[in-house]
Amino acid sequence: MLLSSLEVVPGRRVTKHLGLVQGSTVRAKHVGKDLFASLKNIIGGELKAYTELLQESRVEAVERMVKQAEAAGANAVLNIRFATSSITQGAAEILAYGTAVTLE
Amino acid sequence: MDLIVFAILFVVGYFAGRWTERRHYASIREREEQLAGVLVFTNRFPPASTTRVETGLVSGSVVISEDFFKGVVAGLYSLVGGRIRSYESLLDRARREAVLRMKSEAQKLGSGMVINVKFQTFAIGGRNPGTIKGVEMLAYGTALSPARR
Amino acid sequence: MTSYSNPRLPEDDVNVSDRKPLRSFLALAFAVALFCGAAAVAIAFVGGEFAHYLPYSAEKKLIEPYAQRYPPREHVVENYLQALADRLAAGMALPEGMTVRVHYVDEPVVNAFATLGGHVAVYRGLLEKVPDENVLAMVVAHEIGHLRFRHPIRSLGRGVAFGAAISIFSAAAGSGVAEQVLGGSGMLTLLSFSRAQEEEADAVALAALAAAYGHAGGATGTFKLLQEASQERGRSEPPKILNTHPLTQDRIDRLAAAIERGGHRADGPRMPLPEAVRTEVAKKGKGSS
Repeated sequence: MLLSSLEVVPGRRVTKHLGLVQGSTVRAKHVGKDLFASLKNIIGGELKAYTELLQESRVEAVERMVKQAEAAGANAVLNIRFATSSITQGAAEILAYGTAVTLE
Repeated sequence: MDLIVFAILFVVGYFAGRWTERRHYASIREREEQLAGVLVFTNRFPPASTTRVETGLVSGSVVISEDFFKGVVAGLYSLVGGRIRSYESLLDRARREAVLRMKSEAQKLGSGMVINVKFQTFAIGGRNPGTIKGVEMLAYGTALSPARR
Repeated sequence: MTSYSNPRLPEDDVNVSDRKPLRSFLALAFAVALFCGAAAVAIAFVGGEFAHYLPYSAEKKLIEPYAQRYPPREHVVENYLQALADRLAAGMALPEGMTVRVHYVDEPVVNAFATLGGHVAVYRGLLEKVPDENVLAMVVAHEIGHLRFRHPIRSLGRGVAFGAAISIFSAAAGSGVAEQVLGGSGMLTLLSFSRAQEEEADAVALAALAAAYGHAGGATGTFKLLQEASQERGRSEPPKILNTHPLTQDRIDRLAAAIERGGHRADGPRMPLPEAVRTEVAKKGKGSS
């Protein structure tokens, strides 16, 4: 599966457009991480636990998107975009979306 | 009592925050130097001369926390209005860090150029008071690397 | 052929404008504090001015729950003080419907105060110190003077408005102030008056004193007495009345000048305190309270 944020893949031709595919996940952080993070809130700096949490979520969202694309019979997803939004306090939705295509 | 705790947090926040920020900037500059070989662009299309390349989705993200001092100063700024200067460096650090992480991912793919770079910012904790205050910065784009044959 | 390159970011990047965060914090905090202070003063002033337009009957109603705790009673000192106050108030052109009620407080504090609803309190400690009725009359007339200009309600209005203003910024701090102002009768005894208000009260008190006794003897005596009392005790325990009544040589000089200007006789025969009152006061706390 070829993933790209471009609309075209240089040197390759799109034979079939299979439409929008998306993968999303909603994740909440747990209390232990919050406790450490609230200390970090005083002195500043990177919240590594959060970085990892969101990174993992993004990977999962991409995996789900890829599964959708596979089900549609695509071999690439183009023009991929990400979006993050907070659903409730302490929970975030991570969304990955793009266009499933077949490349020659 | 509350005031004493506040004063301690304020002073600790100021010095610790400054120290963290300085170290982070030093590290950012050093790695920017190291990764200067990977070029980043927001162009949607690869250079015209490109014939056949491998493309790969690359991304870099970081969550950076504000310190207590920055939070207090931001609160004051929001009373007065105008630029919230204390958050400028926070976002600047986050954005440059995210780009650096994206670049190093591209470098691992053997790429010298990332195009169609997009940013996305997400406020952790949102506007709710009493929650963790931080910002997630995500940078992503497509790394172009020579076709493996 | 297009060329592609990424120039280095300069050390002094455009996206970060604050190089001296501590300095900008101090400037900000100063500006905000200045603004809040100015706003508080303005609101307190407005509160004080508007309180003045509250009808006197409403003021009486406001104080009623507290006043009921101190009902009028048959007490030799209180009767005497009430008669003295009535005599002085007769010539002071009090507003429509205002009556003065004097309370005798059997405590050793050298103090007297005026509060809402036309109430004046005089402490035993003060009665022990005054050499004659004229000096006492000046104090009572001064407190009636505060009532005449409705200073207590202005002071309260100032406090309430100030509390309300603070609660805009901090709900907790605001309710604390409001509680202090409204919550207990304790605050009602501590209403503070401005210097200008003190001078206003002094002026009418002087006139009333001169009208009642035919001379202004005792007017400056009151304050000399208090000054002496404070010097005797040293700085550790100044008379309480000084907390709310700034005592300075200025004030005594100003009164002396006012006596001359008013064409009053500076002194004359002093009235002694009635023997019954003297005895009662001398009992020190054994009397009914």
